[in-house]
Amino acid sequence: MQQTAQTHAEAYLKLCRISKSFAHNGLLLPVLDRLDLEVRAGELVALIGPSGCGKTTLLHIISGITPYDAGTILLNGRDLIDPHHHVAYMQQKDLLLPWRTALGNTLLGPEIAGEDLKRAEDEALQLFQEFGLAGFEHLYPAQLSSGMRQRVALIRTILCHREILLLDEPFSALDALTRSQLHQWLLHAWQRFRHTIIFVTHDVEEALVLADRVYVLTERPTNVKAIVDVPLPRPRQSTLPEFVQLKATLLRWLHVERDGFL
Amino acid sequence: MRTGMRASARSWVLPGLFFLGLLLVWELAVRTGTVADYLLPAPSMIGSALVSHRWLFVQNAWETLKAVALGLAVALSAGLATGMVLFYSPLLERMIYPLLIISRNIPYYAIAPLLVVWFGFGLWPKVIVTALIAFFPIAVNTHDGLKSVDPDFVRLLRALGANRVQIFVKVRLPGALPLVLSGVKLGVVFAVVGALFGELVGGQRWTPEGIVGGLGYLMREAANRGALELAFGGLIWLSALSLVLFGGVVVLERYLLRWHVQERT
Repeated sequence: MQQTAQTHAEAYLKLCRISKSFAHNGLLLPVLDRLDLEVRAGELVALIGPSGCGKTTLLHIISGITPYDAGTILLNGRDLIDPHHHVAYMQQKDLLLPWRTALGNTLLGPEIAGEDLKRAEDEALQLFQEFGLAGFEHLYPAQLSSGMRQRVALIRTILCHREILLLDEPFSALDALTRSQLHQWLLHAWQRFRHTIIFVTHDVEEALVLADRVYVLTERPTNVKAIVDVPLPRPRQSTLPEFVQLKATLLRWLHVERDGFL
Repeated sequence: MRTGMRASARSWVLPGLFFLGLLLVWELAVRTGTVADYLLPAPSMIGSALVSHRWLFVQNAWETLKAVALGLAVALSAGLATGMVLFYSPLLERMIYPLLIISRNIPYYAIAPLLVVWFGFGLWPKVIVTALIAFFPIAVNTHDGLKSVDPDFVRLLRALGANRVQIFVKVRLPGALPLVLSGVKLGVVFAVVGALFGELVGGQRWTPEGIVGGLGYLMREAANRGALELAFGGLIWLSALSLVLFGGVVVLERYLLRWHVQERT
């Protein structure tokens, strides 16, 4: 089945001195201030930072939803001019169309792109199997649990066939058990498809379970405060001393920010 | 699902018995002479009129059905188009939508006599009243349905690279469908009443077999001539017609909104 699943050329993403301000009540509110970010090909990077810091704005900029004021975004060393073709975006809301079955929802990307639907369906069915959703293909979203819905949304995101996945707190509405299962599904998919992933979270532990590197962001106007490497083998146990130590480091960075701000 | 159907079948036993009891009392009241049969024909008299004059009823019901079907076809196409135009044009929306809401409250049945003056007797005045009345709920609900679609769905489709047509077909239309269909259900009910009014004020047509004016015309003429069992027969046919049309839309709705039905359970 490996051959039906499409693997991507690995993407190396680099953001240089990205700035963005929003007009708010006649004032210019700076959200991002000359932010640098680098994600190596096939790397899983987590972004954590205080809430309301411009994490979502940053993802919107990368995916082309929001224009930015200054700076450059490079993909494999070249200007990223058509983000639609390279970037898939998934958020906390699963956004499954209620009138489509689970399978129908996952085929949305290939349908819009005008791809071969038979092939896309085979690929989708394979992913349903791998994600423990076999037998649920023809149910409607309302009949699925929230964890299942989020998995369907993840399959839909994968089937968009983009090299870069931007995940905006995708699992934050789920209970702890479901969330940790979804972490395993995500890691499984990532290892299989070699996506380059940027994962936004406010949960330090989630960042450490998933990421190769964690970017700690500052309050608005947002910049990078620290970059923490997570050189631990997967699957990671949150009880291991190294894990606990990294968690303390990340929390310290976050708290320095908060205390400095107060 | 099956137990649900059985339960709903059981819930009809009591009203059914009550209705049969009413018919029985009615029948006895007429038979014993408590109520004069030229004022209120007994159910058995209505029943035999339905059988003996069946072709009269069929012919007139067909005439009414034509008016309703044509009127609905016009209302449906004009209503869907208007709803869509108002949704896509903010200027027209601001200009027309408030008027549309207000004009829903105009009793369009009252326009029927005028239409007879303008268009004469026959099928078309009835079609126009029917279309006019059924148009409003369909147009308003189409517009509201398109508005009700979650903008996040639209953003998702855009991020996937969808064009306007794809967004309309894959998100807006299916998202609007529940409200559109409830507008159509209202439209169907209104349409039958509309056709009836058209027929009550005129609307007969000469055919080789005699005058055919639809069920409303039949009821009016029967009542004028004291043939009340025929008027009641017309009423029964009209109710049946209305129920069948409404039921048809409900079946269509159940099919088109399978996801919605399952969401409710």
